[in-house]
Amino acid sequence: MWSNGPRKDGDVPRKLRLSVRFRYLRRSPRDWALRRLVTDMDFDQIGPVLDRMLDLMRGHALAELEIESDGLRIRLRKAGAAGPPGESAGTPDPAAARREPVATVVNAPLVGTFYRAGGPDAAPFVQVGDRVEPGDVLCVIEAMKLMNDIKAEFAGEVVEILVENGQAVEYGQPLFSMLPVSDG
Amino acid sequence: MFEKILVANRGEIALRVIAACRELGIRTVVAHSQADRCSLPVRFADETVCIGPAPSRHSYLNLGAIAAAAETTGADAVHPGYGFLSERADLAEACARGGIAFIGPPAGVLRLLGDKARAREAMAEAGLPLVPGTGVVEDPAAAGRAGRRIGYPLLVKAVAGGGGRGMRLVDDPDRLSDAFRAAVSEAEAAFGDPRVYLERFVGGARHVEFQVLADRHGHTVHLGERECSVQRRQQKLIEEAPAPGLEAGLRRRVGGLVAAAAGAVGYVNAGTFEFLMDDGGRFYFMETNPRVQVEHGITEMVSGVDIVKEQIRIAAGEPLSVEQDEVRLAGHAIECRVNAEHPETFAPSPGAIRALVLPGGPGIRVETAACAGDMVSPFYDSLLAKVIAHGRDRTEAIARLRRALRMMVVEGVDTTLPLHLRILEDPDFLAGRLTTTFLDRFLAPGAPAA
Repeated sequence: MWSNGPRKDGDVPRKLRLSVRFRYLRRSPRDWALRRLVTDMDFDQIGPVLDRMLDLMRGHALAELEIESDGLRIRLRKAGAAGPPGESAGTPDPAAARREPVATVVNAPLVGTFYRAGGPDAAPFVQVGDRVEPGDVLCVIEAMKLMNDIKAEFAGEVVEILVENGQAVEYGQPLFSMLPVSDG
Repeated sequence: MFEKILVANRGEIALRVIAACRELGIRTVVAHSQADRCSLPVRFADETVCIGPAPSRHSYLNLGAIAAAAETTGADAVHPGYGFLSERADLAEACARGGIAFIGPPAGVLRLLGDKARAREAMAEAGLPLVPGTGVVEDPAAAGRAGRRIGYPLLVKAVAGGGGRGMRLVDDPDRLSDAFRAAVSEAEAAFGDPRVYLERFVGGARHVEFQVLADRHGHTVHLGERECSVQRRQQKLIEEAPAPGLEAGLRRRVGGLVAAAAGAVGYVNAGTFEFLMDDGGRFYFMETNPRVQVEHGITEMVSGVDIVKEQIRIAAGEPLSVEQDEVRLAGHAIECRVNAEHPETFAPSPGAIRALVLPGGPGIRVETAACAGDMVSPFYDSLLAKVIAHGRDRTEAIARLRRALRMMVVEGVDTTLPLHLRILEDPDFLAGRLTTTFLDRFLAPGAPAA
């Protein structure tokens, strides 16, 4: 599966303590060679890319570096650089990722046609900025004349809607970017 | 003709269908699992759609996802390849409901042929010779009575069977009831259908199969036979066309029977009729494979007919491009299925392919979706490449195949290449002395190593 959440790379030098984030923009990369590079199976091959990025960061004393190419974005950020106070650079802090809100992507659980509303004249289930609760319908995916409600699995705020109404979507395709909220 | 075909398969057969579509000027959509998103079929298709996660049951066997993918991408036909959903009547029906053509036989024919007991009855009625056997046998006592009539050794076979599962060989009447119960529980577990039937075991037999093409206008032709005796647990390893030593008169006679039987059951599209041929040249019908076969390529090499393109044309309602008297079989073709398996233990060998060199040159055709850097996935079958050699005669085909296999390099995973090379030097193989037990004897401890 494409990796959407925070991900630690064992090869990253400790003193920098970087969190590595991959983010796929709208569709998965179209370029086949790039796909090969960035699938989970080929994760080792990303090492050289990360090394180059780390060199750049060190050489230019950067706190954060982001590269983007054909649908894939890799962002490296020095731990504590933009994080909340209390995050120290020396000790690993597993709660860091939680304290700094990270958008989570909701993927299509099946192949079909994406609809934002329950009917042609109905209002969309959600808009950007809406707060949703677990179980709220986010969209429907039509497959073989069946309307499948796609529901929120966690409470959060809709940050971005990544597909157009009426668009064909494939299994695993990012649909929504959501910012989880832990408490009302 | 179709404008867009959804390929509901993976690996080399997905590429084979893409090749046929490109030649016909048809756009392709490959439905793939997440594990295959970097595969060559995904690279070469005009469009791709991910239908599910790596395990087949959630992707390539997920009928709803495939039908939805065809509908969503606007495909007007589905090619199911072989294996997976290729023989499923319900996929043919789901396609029909969505107004999409299924590139294979009609659902009713698939249902008939999927029930081995009914298929046997229908084929007997249509004039094909059968191994003496029974319909569905209910219990061990009935099996015992049937066993006395058929004679031993005999096979207990699952009605829903395939791939050797739910099958038991019985030499001795005293062992029949145990074998019966074992076959029933295996059939229940493997196919969800506990029904079994009995069939006499034909010893010393060869596996010979006929390729048939039938259009919707009532034309049926056969493209001759393939010899597929070199197999292990029902898995074919080497196939050749024509069958060594098979007389032209016998080919014409059995081929004619097969084409007539296909017509009689309303068969449409490409199909294969499998027979056992005993040492007296007698043919016994076993089953029909209602789809393109893995080994279709050798028939294409000797007949010059592109079977996959014919399949597409037939499904689009066009007439066959050849009539029986225009079918000319020329030369000899042999195929080795190179699997990513240990050449002696046959243990699957998943892993990364570090280097891959494919052979070429005169008379060599390689069908594969492997490339260097690829993973041989543990989720799917282990077929790595089909290497086909065509020559003016069997001797030339064997010589070409040997040098091709020696000029093939696969690094990173085990392959059956060494086994193929040994078989291609075996005196019995070279003499065309083949039976379905050839490989068991060849592999038995103490067998002479080449």
